[in-house]
Amino acid sequence: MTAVARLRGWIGGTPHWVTFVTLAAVLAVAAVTSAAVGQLGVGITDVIGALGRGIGVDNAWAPADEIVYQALWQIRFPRVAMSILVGTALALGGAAMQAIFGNPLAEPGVVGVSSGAALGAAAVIVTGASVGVVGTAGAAFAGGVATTVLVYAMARSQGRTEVVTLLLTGIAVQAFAAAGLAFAVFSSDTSAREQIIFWQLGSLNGARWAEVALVAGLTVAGLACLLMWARQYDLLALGERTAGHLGVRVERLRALSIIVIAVLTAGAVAFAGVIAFVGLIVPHLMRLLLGPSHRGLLVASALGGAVLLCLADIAARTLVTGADLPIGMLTSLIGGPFFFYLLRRARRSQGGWA
Amino acid sequence: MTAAYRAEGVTYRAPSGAALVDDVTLEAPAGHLLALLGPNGAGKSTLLSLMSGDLRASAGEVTLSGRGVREWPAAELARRRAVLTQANQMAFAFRVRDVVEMGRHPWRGLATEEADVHAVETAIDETDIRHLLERAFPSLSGGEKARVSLARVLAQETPVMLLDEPTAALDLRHQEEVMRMAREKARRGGAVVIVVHDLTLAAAYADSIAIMSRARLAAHGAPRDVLTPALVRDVYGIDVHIVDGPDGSPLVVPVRA
Repeated sequence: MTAVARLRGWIGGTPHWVTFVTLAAVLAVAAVTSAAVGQLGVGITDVIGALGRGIGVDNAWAPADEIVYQALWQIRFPRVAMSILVGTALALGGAAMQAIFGNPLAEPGVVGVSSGAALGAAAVIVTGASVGVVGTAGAAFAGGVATTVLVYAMARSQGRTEVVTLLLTGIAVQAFAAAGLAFAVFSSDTSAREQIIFWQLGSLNGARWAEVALVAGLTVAGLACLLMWARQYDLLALGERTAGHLGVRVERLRALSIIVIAVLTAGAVAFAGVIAFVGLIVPHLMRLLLGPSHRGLLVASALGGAVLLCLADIAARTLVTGADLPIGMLTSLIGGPFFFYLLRRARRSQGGWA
Repeated sequence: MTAAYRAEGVTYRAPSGAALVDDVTLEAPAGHLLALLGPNGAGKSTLLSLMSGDLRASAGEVTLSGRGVREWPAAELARRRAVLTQANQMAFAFRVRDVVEMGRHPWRGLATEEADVHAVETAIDETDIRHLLERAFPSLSGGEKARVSLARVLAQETPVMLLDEPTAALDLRHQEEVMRMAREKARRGGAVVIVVHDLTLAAAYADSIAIMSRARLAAHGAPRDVLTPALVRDVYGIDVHIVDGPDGSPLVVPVRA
């Protein structure tokens, strides 16, 4: 019996809210821990106290040292918030992508959000058109959304979208984006080159409240849309024709969903760089725990993605003393083998995922 | 009799230009079980897709209750006609009960909870799938999947049902039960169009049968009038005996050397 199966047996039958509450509790602990760790040693109580004071509840735990308080609110908290939001957005994008194509292998990265965003960012870095971080992020966002919409539009034929065509179109467009990226790296000077490489590695370093607010707005709006469509996503599992027979306007739902997915994912990638596998792994794991019904799955994926990225960010800052490891590298390091495990497991239990 | 469904000179051309359905005029009145027969590739499924509104006719018109089938709003159409396709696919491991309940989607916000429960429970009993309810749909056998999909279609509680080969993967008993259920549905005022391959089965249950051959309607009428050795040879290219069965309905038996 695998660990996942045991976990499922344990949760089996309990209502979904047990999972939600557990995930939320884990997230709260992870978030506080994340804010406490780092070069400047801060106690857990200091974090909670600072949080309390920040929202207007004066308390004894609040750090006496103003520098600690400022460090938490100016540097640590926005970073933790960003990690939570980016994880949520990526996991939601993945869950929705898998839902609209009825395929557990679909992931926003597959249709080129990340490549498009990377190309957008690189273009701005090389031409020097960027005005600070927001310029790069804006270009990355635009690149990500544009690539996704382009891939989707090209994969459509006679008002229908075939999954395999979509994935193959994604591969073609990603190859094109990779060529553009290679040219950008080739033609740039050393510092720009370094900037492009590190942007792609992904980092939550230097997140600011204005950016957090922007990503929060996109994420909440995206979550609201996806939850509204959750029941129709369930019907899509029956295949597009049958979903249509049950009154779902399949292509309209897909087109709107693609826009939401592109905005969610590109928003996350724009500020955090390329962070792979979250959109693939988290919805999978949550489906194993809760079953395929999308209302529960979307909520759990949002929480699970937040937990995963929060933990990954802690690891990024603590694994090597004094270094801030690229978070995209970490998620891929964990995600790659885990995905392999999922594939093997699916193959054993249901004969694969064709 | 009011014509629930009416196809008037309907033609469908594939993008390649070949006519898959050629000038078919057909009625599926309320209270009537219509069996659609024909060799593989004759255009039965395409005709059903035209009737369900999936495909747009290249010429002619399909109307449901007097209105073009593709002019109905999607949700309203889903409360008037249910469709069982040949593909019983399911992307994720939904439980059988979830799948049957999906049939109630068009009634969301319109039907009472009791009506929903009643529709689902009745459909479960009519298709004999109560022992499968907690199973994951993808883990079922072909015949079990077909019955669960049929239950989903029944739970939709529409006056019109289009069933594409619902008996294909079923064992003898379940074949008969599905046909009986379809006839019962028609007796209660529904219009049922059912694609089957077994001529004897169609003749035993259907009020009328329509036989398609090479995209055209080859014959349409009461089973006894339509099924003749000459027609079967013409359409299927095989010689048959047509004899009276013990219950009076015709049996179609291939001539075996």
